Amino acid sequence: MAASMKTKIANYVAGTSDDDALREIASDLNKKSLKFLEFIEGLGEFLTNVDTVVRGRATGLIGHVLNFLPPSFLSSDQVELVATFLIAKLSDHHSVQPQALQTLAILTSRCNSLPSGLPQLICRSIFREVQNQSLSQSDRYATYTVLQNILGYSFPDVEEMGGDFVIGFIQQMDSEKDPRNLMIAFNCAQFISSRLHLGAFTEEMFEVLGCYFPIDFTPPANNPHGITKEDLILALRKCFSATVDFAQHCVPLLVEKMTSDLQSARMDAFLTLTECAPVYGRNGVAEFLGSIVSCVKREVLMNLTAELVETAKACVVAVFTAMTPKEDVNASKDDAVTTSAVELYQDVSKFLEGSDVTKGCLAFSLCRAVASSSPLAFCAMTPLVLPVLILQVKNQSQVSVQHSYLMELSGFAQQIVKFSTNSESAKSVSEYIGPVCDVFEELLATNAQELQSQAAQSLSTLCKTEQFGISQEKCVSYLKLMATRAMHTVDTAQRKLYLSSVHEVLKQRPNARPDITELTKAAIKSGEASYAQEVLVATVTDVNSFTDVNNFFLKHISQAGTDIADVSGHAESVRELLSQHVSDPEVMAVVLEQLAFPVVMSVVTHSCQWKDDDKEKVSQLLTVVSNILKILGYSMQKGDVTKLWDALQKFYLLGDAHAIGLSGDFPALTPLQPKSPWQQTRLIALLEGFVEGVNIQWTVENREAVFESAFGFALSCEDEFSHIAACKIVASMVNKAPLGAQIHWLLEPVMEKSKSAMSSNSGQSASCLRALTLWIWLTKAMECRSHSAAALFSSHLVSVVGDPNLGPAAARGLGHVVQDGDDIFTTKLNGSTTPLYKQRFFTLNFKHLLEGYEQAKSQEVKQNYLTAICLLTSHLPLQVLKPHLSKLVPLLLSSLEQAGGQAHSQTLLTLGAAVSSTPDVITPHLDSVVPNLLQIAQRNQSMRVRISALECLENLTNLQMLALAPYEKRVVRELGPVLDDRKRLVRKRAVEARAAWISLENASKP
Amino acid sequence: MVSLDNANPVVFLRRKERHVLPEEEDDDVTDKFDSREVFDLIRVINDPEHPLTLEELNVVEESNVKVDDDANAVYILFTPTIPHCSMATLIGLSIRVKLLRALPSRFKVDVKISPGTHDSEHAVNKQLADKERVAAALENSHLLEVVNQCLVRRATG
Repeated sequence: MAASMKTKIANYVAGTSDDDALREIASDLNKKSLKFLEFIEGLGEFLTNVDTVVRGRATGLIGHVLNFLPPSFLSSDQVELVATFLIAKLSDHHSVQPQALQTLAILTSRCNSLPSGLPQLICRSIFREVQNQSLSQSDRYATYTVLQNILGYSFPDVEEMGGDFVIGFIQQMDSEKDPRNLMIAFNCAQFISSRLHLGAFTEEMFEVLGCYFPIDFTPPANNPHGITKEDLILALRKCFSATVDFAQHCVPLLVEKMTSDLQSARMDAFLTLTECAPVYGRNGVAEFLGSIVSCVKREVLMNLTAELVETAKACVVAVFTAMTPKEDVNASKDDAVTTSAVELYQDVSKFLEGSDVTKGCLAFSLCRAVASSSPLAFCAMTPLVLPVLILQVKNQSQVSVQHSYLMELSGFAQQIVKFSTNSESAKSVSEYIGPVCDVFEELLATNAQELQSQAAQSLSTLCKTEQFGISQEKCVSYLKLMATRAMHTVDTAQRKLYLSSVHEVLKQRPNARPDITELTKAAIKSGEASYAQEVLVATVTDVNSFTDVNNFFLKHISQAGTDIADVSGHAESVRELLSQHVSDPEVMAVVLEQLAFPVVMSVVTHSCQWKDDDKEKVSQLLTVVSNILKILGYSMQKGDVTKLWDALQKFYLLGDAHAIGLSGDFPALTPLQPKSPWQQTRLIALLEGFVEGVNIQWTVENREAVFESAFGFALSCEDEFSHIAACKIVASMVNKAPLGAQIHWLLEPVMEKSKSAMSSNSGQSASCLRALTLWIWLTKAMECRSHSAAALFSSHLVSVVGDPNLGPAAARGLGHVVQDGDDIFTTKLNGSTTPLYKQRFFTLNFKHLLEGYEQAKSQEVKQNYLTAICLLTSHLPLQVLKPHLSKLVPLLLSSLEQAGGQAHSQTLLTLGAAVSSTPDVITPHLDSVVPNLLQIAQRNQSMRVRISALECLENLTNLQMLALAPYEKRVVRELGPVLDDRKRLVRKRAVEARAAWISLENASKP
Repeated sequence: MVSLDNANPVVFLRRKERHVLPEEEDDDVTDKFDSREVFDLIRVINDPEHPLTLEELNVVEESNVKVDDDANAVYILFTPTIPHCSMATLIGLSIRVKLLRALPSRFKVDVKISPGTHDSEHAVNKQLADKERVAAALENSHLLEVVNQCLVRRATG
């Protein structure tokens, strides 16, 4: 053993073997088959060799072997011994010293508790023996590593050394140039400066760091060491902000750099001061406040880049914040903060009052930045600036200019609110609150939308805060103005903004509510304002107002003889109201009695009066009400859910109108009988909404009976709307059924019956189609929860695509299964949707569809498969399709060639996505893609399809120019007639597509 | 740096995108060309010397665009930012080329300077009305490149 080790060592020292030999030695040491003492003894003759190279390599070898050993392998005696030896080697020949340093670096990194006294010894020897500047980069790195390790692991020893360590480190670090070493040196310097008392060496320490500022470093190409300029900048910045002692040296340097010609230097100076100011505090920056402010002012007014301006402002904020005296504001009226704020104001006042908008706004924003830093600065600055700003906003005639000033005023409004808790600040601006509000009110009344919305926001911010004493009348008049605006604003985003402004103010000032609701209710009754209902919904802030508004809407819903469309409108408002307050427990406690039963009752009462002409309107109304019940289903408490379910199941199963609160003489209804008139069967939509939302575990009573009835109803009800609703009930129940035997118990009879209904009497195709629709819904329900039995459903559905009669519907159904929807089966609705179910479904069934397509004999059946594939692919992320694209693209193209396919639009979407993500797949097919797309763009009946085709054509221009060149002229020519399409939206796309191709043509010209 | 004709122009707000009306979504209704549609085509053209659109400089306005779909005619007046603007011809040419590419060929397009807003109004109008001169200008590859620069759609915020 010993012999083999000796050979390995000899080989390594002679340079004839590599690291493997060392690894073997290390593993022997680790397995204890070789003692550390033996290893060192083995090295003996090399360590004492007369040849310095051999001595050096042998010293290095210790480190390399240690590197392969686990940390803390050596005992503290061994460490001490090795370290003492290495320290001695530091004073050896200059070719041995670096190896000793490297080994020391490894040794210190591997044991986190050096024996006491040893760290000091190591440091002192290094400071005495090592001339760091004369070493190579990697050896200097080793020096810093040793120091860093000692700082980290044995800081108490370093503390004992005090100034000796500091000056030693400064000498070692002096004139370091390599970024790799600088990173570690900065790290040490930051640590030393923040933990040790620098004392007499503060200036030296700062000088050795300050000479690097501002950092200018461009990493070599491909940056092998991964160090960027940004890393260095951040490391140096941390050093600067490490201790308050640097302030007297650092701030003058930064101020000087703030006037540098280099933008990056100025940027860095501002950022560094922003970070240092909180550390340096008032004493650190006070002396230089004047020059800092003037540098920032210069930078902001120069307005070179937005980023620079923002950075400079952030800097001035940090400095003023640092300047804020700790003691009470009142005591220091003539404080430096106040004086320099006033000085700044006087300096820039010619811009504030001038006619140059850009400069003016920059100056205002600078003043605002200063004001935002502390209450003291706010008190000094705001009263000076506000009158000027108000005047500027008022005097402008051009909207864009006015808007710029308005933005500044809104900014000040926010500051006013921010400091409103401070009594002194609030007092200083109190006289201006009125005029500011007046300005906003005036702008709210103008015609420019930008001004209105900004003014509304700011007004609501001011009104929310009660300290300003904005009177009730004023507040009401502002609110009325906003509410009126909201009622008549067509633009949704703009309207939402007004609504939220009104809502926010009312939350703080509920007393203003009656006036606003009165105004809104009157507007609803008169029917003049299109969006008055939304405003009324927005006024609701608590349970009382909820009850009030809710009752108002319910009264309208329950009124006999109202137009069904109006009822739908009010129901929609109730839905909106409910959905906005689902998270309010007080509201949710009252909804069962106040909202759920009254709505159900009204709709059931109305159902007797529905005429055959109203079918369309009725389905709209029922959809809205079903959504209300869906929300109730997922948001009510368990007790309430059970109560509502009991009532509903009694009503639907037994026709018991008392259960839902109707009086005794109400005629008996049988909504779950397939043969009932449509007015009754459609009521099933209410049950559908509730089942879709509810936690199924809470609906115990007669659940199976409801399931069976709904299933039978879904198979045989002839009214389309009722039939779909029933399908959804069955599917929801299957999707939500708890894991275990119950689901099989539910499914088995269902599968049998629906399969036979689909296949049996092909003469009655309507009933077959109903069974198919139910089957599709069940497939979706099962696939969504990724149930093991889902494959039974989906494989049967895929096989039905080949059926000549049911094929088209089944193909559409496949698309429906993977269609995203947030209205059913989602987790929020207590359903179960597993992630990636679509991808799974696609992967499992795509192959069968392809096979089906290839084996299909008749053209119609082939078309069914194509439609299925197109629909399926259009709902899937491209990532999933990518591996199949080479097979898919020809199929998609042939589906485009089939005239009249309704899947065109979807196919084009997929194709368009394919073009942008995988150009190589499309390029070989260009000679059929381009003419096909042109044909569709010109001829297709549907405008959506034409638009998609044009989008696709535009996407094509991203392909390689060489491949497109043959088609350029033709596309430009044939798109000419499309510019005269009868639909404006198509023309718009055509213009874009043609422009893209024309620019291609121009680019390819020599 | 080449000095600009108008170094500090007044910037106007951009219009919002046109609202899509229900009848525009309806496949059976025929949408006629109207002035807003043509205005939408030309308002995005870039000014040759500023990073702004013609709309932002108020060079083109919707009220100065007249479209008669049945008579196949489009009249456009544009207003240079200053009376001695040397770019007026180029702006006019850009508008012409844009419409040449984006309008059906059945339309006859007239592009003119608003009366009294430019020193050499008649000369420019004459140049823009002369089909052959326009065609010849587009043969000039350098000029075409400048025009294309104006027609490239900027990413607008």
